[in-house]
Amino acid sequence: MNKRVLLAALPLAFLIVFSLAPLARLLAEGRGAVSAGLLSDAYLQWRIGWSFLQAALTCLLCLLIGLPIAWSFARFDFFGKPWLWRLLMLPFVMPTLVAAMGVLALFGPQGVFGLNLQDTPVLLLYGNLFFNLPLMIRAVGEGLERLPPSRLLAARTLGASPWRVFWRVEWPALRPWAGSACCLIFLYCFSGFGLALLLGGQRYATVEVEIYQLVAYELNLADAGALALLMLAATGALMLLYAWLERRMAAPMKVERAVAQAPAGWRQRALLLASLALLLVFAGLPLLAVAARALAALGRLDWAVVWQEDTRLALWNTCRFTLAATALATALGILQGVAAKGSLGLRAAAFLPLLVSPVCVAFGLLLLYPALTASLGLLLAAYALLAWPFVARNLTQALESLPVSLPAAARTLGASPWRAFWRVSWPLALPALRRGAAFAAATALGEFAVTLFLSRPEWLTLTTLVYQRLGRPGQENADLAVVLSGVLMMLSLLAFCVIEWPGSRQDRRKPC
Amino acid sequence: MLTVQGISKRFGQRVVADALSLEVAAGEMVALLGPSGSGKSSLLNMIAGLSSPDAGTVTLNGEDLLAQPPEARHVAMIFQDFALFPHLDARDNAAFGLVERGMARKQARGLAEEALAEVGLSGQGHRRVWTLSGGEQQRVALARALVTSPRLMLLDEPFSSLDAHLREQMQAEFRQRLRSANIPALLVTHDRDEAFAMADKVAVLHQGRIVQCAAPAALQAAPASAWLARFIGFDNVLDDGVLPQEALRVESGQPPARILSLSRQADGVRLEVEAVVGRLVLRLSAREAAALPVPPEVGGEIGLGVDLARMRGFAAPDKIL
Amino acid sequence: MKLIPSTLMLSLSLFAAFAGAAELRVLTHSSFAVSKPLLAEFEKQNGVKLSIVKAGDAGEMVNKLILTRAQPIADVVYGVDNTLIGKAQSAGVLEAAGKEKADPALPGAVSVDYGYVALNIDKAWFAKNKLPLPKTLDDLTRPAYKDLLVVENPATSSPGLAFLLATIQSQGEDKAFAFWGKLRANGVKVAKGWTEAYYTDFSRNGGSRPIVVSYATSPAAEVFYSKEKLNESPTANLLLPGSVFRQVEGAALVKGGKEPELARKFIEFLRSEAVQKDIPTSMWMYPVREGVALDPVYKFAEKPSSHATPDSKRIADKSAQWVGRWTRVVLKSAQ
Repeated sequence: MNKRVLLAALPLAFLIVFSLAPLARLLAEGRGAVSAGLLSDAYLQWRIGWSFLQAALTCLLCLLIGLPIAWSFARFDFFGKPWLWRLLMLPFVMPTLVAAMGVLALFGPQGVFGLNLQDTPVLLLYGNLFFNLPLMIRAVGEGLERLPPSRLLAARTLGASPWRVFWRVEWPALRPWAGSACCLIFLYCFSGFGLALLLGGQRYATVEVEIYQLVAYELNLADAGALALLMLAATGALMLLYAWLERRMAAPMKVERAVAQAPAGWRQRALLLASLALLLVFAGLPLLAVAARALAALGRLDWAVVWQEDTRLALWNTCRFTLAATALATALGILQGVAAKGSLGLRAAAFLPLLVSPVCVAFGLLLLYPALTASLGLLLAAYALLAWPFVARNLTQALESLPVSLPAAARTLGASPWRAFWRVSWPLALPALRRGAAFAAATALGEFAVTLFLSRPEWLTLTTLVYQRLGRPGQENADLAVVLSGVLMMLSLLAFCVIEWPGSRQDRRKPC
Repeated sequence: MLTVQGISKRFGQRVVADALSLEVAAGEMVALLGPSGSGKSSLLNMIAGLSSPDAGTVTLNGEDLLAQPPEARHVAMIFQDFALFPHLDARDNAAFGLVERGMARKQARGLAEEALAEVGLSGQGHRRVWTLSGGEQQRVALARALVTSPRLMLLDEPFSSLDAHLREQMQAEFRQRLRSANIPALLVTHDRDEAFAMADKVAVLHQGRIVQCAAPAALQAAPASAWLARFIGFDNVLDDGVLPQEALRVESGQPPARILSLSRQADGVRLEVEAVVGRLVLRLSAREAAALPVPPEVGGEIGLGVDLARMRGFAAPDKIL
Repeated sequence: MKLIPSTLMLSLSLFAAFAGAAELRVLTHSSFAVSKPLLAEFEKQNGVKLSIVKAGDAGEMVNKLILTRAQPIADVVYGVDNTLIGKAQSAGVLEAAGKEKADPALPGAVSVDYGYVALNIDKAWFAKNKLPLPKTLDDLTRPAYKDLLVVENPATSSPGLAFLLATIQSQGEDKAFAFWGKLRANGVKVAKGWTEAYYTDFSRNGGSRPIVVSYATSPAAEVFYSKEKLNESPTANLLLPGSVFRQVEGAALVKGGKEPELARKFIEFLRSEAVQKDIPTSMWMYPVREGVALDPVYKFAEKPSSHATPDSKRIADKSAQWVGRWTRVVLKSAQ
């Protein structure tokens, strides 16, 4: 217990200093002068209601669309499947800005389908789906893979049709997996800021956007703080549920993998084809749209415009900030991840940075540490704060699913607790850690909320440069912004390659 | 010599060891036999140092083990799931303990290869552990444990995940290896055949206590209680003792007993009969069954005498341990 | 691993070099873009290290300044305009640089540049649809111009606020909000900020609205930022009476700042000929200094002859109330 406290001390201190204390400071500044009719305002009620609704709708849609896709992946063998399974996480690591641009290129005022969905809720829902569908597919897919094939066969021999097998055997086993994915998706959508700001328009924005407006423009810290607390309470409860579900699923188990077979018969082929089509529509199209627009814009630009000093500086900064933030997030994540093994509270604590309104944190930091606000350290800490949950979560999950007999065996063979960790638990958790770090890098790379913090011209990053360019009229600026977004996408792709390519074959064969 | 004295351990309401005492002499193999949940594995974990008892002492050759962390005890353990390290190949698995004991990696690998060869895996050291069959994994686990020359070997149901044929083969192999290395061993099992086949002494555990500890023959000759007698496989347990099959005499002149049920087995038949002394289970070999004047059938009768002189009374309390 | 000690030495010596030089902290909005050689020149001449901090758009910047007034995060601020100066002044976060330089349009600060918020049109769209241009603001409420206008939300955008202020100044408060009610009925679109309005809603850049609230210099910027230099701008100003707002941007000392002398010098520097010459094509504003030659591309920017700009005091007193009323009329009643 003591060891756990010691390990968690640093990440928890970091969390308090850079997330909770700023929020508390902001609340103190508002001093509870919350408008009396805050929550009875129909406009705000609509905002809160819509925030819930869009998050819940996204969960439902992810479930409806994700289940057949995940099922097809788990049960059918088809050409390019391993490759596609890895590509699946690509949307999740895309910067918000790039995703929004892709969505607008498809269904914006001059979308390629001639269908303008701007100012309808569809745009935001589609963006949410783009980001979160992969989470659902991966989670459910993993659950399906862990289902012993004998159980399915047993159900078939007891007279169940494939559909009944799904409904009575597979689905009940998948529920915790789907449930935990839903928690996470709901959380991302409910407290999401960037996507709602870019795609929600005036009407379909979320509470977080409202908080942004209250703080940044109206200086109404009291109301903003009250809303932020409300969000925190809602998402915090959800987070505990999620941590609980996830811990339950992490129970070490022997995996007897179901064998995938080539689809047989027109029904199975149709199902597979439909699944792949859905995947293309919801996860592939926005990326293709961004790539196409970036290439077209690149063709219109002079190389000298693209490769100017600002671009080079932004590229360099983006790379080094991402590296530094990832390193910091990884270090904190390791401490937290190791400490949180078996502890529900610490597990949930790792998600705090995702729950606390980034707008409130940004302004709280300004209030709390005015002397530090324009320091690089604070900026990197902010990056790391947002990237860290991914590392911690992956690591805890991996450590908890490690059979207890492995470190125990190491101990009886003469390894001290530290040696047992270093030679057994650590190497076995390493793939998960690497995956977490890559997610962290991708988050840091495209983190939209960081634009809320003070910035300096010499810290120009790709995201800020895109915004800077989009702040001026003229074709050249628009084209450059699109090209830079394409570059941002390529960098995310790189981070993603680190996640999924090397060693992933080993993961799949791992017996435990 | 391992001496466990007065060990107690509870997890919340559940008592897994209740002032439990046990001895394993040098070169001896003791089986800890008990139904699941009787606290067998917990005892093993406490001896290995993976958990600590609430009270009691554990000494090995007079040395207090409880004062030492598991890595300093020089006690090797073989786990139910073998606990091979999936990130290491067979050879590095086997070399793990040597490296931890401070041996140079190269030398450790050399010894590991030798140990693997001894268990019949020569030249297999480079293989990834998940590509090995169950028996091969088992052998790697044995080599990994043996190569460190442990002072005591703890075996936690090591054969339960193997199929019947392989299990017998591995039991014989383990028995032979441990004996030739002269390493005392404590085997945890819920399989009485395994316990009787492998161990010099069998300690039967029930609700955190050792009910009886004796050589297999002694245990069968005088079980300590009715529960224990049933647990180790006696069919006919009476109030003050057990009736072994040899106490049942099947002869036509004997009082008739009605056959209540009959089941055919690979090597004979098993009958449940209503005899004078009460309900009894009677096992007949194929030869004995064929020698009966009338083939046995349910509802029929069979002449059955009970030789009460052959009844085995429960062991006197002072002879239990 | 010799690298580490040498890097350490280098950073230590750099630290020592900077520790000797004074540091001037400049707070600006995100559009600040004075060219780097000019800034380096200023640093060299004054033996000072400039630390420029961008704090979002102008409104966000002023709010951050107000929040940190107990421990100011800057010594000098640039980018306060006549819509915000009143708010900054009543919060007491600024200090005048000197009375003689004060601009009546921007009391309490030194003006550096100015520009006009004005409606822009997509010329190609109007040519293609053969629609005559509107002549008055009221024309925009007529069915012929339904769903053609995009404006920025005055709560989150300074051009949006400026346009609202111009309509109030020219029509009076009640008539102006009646006008906005009719605009809403006629399908006015509200974007969060200039970027969204110009780059996603304006028909010139892929949107569906051929009329946008932007700046009078935007048509010139369109020519400036085109690959093959255009002879004609694809956009034009639509200078309807009562629709133009004159925005004056300036700089001021931050109250409680550490380097008032250097701060004054920096304000002087912003008004120096070199910087004033730089401003038109970097920030697309007119320089306040007289006699500074404008880049030739400015012939594509029509300078409005009249404007409807309330004075800064009135803006300070009323803008929060007006924005609230605007939100009720244009956004909330639409729910």
